[in-house]
Amino acid sequence: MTPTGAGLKATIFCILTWVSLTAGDRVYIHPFHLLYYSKSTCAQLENPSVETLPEPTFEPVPIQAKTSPVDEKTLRDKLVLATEKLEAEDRQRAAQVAMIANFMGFRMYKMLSEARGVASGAVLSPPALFGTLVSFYLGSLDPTASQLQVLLGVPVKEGDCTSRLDGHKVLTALQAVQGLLVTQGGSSSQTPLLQSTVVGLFTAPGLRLKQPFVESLGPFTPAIFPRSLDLSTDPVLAAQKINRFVQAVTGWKMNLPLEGVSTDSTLFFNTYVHFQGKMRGFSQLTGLHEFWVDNSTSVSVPMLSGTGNFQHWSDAQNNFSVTRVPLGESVTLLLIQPQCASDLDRVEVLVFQHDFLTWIKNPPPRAIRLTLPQLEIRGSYNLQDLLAQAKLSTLLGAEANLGKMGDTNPRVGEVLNSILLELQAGEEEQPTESAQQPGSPEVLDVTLSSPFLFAIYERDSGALHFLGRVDNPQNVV
Amino acid sequence: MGGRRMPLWALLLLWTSCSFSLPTDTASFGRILLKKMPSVREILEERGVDMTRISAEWGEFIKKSSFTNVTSPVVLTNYLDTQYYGEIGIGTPSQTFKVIFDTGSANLWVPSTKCGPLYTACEIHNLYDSSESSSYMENGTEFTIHYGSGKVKGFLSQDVVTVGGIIVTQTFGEVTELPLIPFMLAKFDGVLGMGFPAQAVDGVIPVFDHILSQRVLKEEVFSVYYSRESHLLGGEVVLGGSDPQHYQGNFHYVSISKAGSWQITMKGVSVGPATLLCEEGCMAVVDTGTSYISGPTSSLQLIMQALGVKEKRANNYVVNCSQVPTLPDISFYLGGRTYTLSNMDYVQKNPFRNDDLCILALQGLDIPPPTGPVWVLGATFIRKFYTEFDRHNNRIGFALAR
Repeated sequence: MTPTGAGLKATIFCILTWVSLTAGDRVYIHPFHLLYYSKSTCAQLENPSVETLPEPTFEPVPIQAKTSPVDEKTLRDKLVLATEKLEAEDRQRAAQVAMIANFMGFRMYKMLSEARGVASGAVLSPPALFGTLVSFYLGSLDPTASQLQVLLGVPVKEGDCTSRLDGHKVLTALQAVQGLLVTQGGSSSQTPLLQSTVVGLFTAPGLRLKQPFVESLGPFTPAIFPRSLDLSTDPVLAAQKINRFVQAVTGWKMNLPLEGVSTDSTLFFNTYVHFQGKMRGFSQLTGLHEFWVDNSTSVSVPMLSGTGNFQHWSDAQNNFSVTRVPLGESVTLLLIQPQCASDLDRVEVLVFQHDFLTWIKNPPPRAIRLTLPQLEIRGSYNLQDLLAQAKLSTLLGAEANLGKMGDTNPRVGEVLNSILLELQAGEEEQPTESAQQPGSPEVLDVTLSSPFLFAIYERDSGALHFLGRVDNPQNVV
Repeated sequence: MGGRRMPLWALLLLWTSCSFSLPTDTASFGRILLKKMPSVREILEERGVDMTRISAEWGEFIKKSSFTNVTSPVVLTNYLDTQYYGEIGIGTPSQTFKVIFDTGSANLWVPSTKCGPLYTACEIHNLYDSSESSSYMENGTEFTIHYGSGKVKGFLSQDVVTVGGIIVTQTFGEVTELPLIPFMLAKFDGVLGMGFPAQAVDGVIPVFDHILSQRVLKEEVFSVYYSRESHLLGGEVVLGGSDPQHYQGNFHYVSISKAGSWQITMKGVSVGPATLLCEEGCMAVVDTGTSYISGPTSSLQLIMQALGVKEKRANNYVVNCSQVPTLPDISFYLGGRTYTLSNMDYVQKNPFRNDDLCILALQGLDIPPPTGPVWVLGATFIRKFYTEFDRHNNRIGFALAR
């Protein structure tokens, strides 16, 4: 048996023992000290051995400049390579980062839910959100840097460099989290998971970005595109240009917002995430099938169906059921369905909480025939809106000190996370009807033909990579 | 009508008093009755007493009555054998908070509505709102409390606090900085320190000392029972006495070795038959707010060598679960007696287990002099040994828990 990394559950359980309230003048070692600046780094920062040169800056090329498309396989190969080198301490950092990202994710998902309209879907990527916040941390100076560090969950001791988050360590740990997702059974896997992240740094003409800052984002994603365009004369036109650029570079059919933003912004920080998963043993049903959006309205959608041994349990007290479908060795799709379709809002509030992972039970797998819509989920959220709802509108607002990002303080407009999540049938040939052996246990039929929640969870790091709900599989969010 | 009211009160209180003077073999009966009683506050409220006024005059009130010899239980919830917490009320009308009754500290604090939005942990806990309490009094002194797992910051306030039906006017901490780690994992809202006044930050008089000064308790003690996860009752703190339902045999007492803290001298730590450590004596604190047993890192390493444990994960020692039944006893020598934990006692059940590893409920923790080096006997120890904390005689009593 290959040694199991200390996953989030083990980490959570171990961290619980840190709730040891022995007071007094005791040594305080934060359990996440692996993510701090080391003493040697602090010594170097505080006493530079050479005269500090001004950081090199550059003006991004215009958005209409010719740009090569992103090669998703290359991005994945880089992640796989990085993941194969992980040591025990790296995995521990990954688990810590995953824990914080999960907490941030649930908080912001709650903001997203409260903001959305009636019966609309939602999808949020905690790692993308966390990576965005850490990127801004890397680009900021105090007081913004300290505020971001507090939001990211690590208290700041004034004047103590070794209590500061090392943004590079954090993003490297986040890279490990992403790598553990796509590294399933090695690169020779028949049904690889693909997840690609692309960052667009869209700047007003004249704003110069600092080279060290842009380079420091490398672990978040190698696919970083600083581009310059007029953000102020015609905001809608600017949004259209950005969307065409992203479409051309990624090839992803995303539903990108066209709303204009305030004309005085000088920087957009947009993150685009594409997840592609294959459901092994599933095939697409012929024709279209009914999905009930509400009691009286249905839509016709393509469906996937498959029979396999899955974990399934019901929460009788709260009237919902959970089905757990493997997407890989340590990656799980969790499908959460209320018994009564109109109950989804209540179940969502109940389940998508900071202690979500403690809800996950471990019953023995049973034979289940699972039918669900083929998922092509598109979602976008503006982190600025979520922060405003969390009463943090000034955090990345006009007064934010982002002196490590640009030579003049950028004024941040849009901070977008856009997600395209695709779950498709596996490509291997499957018989149209699986033969049922005489005397075998009865096959449970689980059909998701009304709104449901889903999460994609990776066990080794403990990361929740996506949280979402499907109200209408036809709807573009 | 006042005349008619008073005799009824007196009767109730008199009956209560009598029940405590019944012979020992009816203690269970008395204990059950006490648990079923509504709290004093509820009784008074049913009679239309103005709680705002009565709270302010509580001290005077009890002097005029025979309401003494109280033992007051607080039921605890057990979360995964790592967190034990019970409910208290603060303010008028009462706001409910879950708190850990912590013998390792001496301040009461709860999160405040003034905790800022940067602190995600405050989003998931009950927050004290002084604007909703008519008995709130401003203090404003800033405070910080450091724990082994993190620190909290805020400011002091004064209000009425109800613990196990007993009402005190208390200065407590309103926390405005609540770190994500570990408090996003905390099922409790705050901490009620059960340590000595000398341990209290900012010279605050601890809750239990205010209770003692009312002279309502039967004895100047409190007792702690921590159950195992499978028990229906998560645990219990009894103010003023102990609960024989949860221990067997007699208490054996160890005098505290340092005035002003629940610290005792430990004369040895054994693994199996071999005494490995502390033969010359070590300091140990009995800490209801600590999940595990901890000792100096170098000492823990010796224990792990003797146990044959090699692996460490995320600051915890782990073993293959199949190895657990072969692990030897670990014994602690306190006050001339041996207190033994079997492997089932010091291996943590792990409900999240997805591999074959079990976690040992033992940790290394290095604390520098003058406070350290020190051993901490936390919940792992208390689950096995019901513990009485005796402020009158400055000693700690242990009995086998059941």
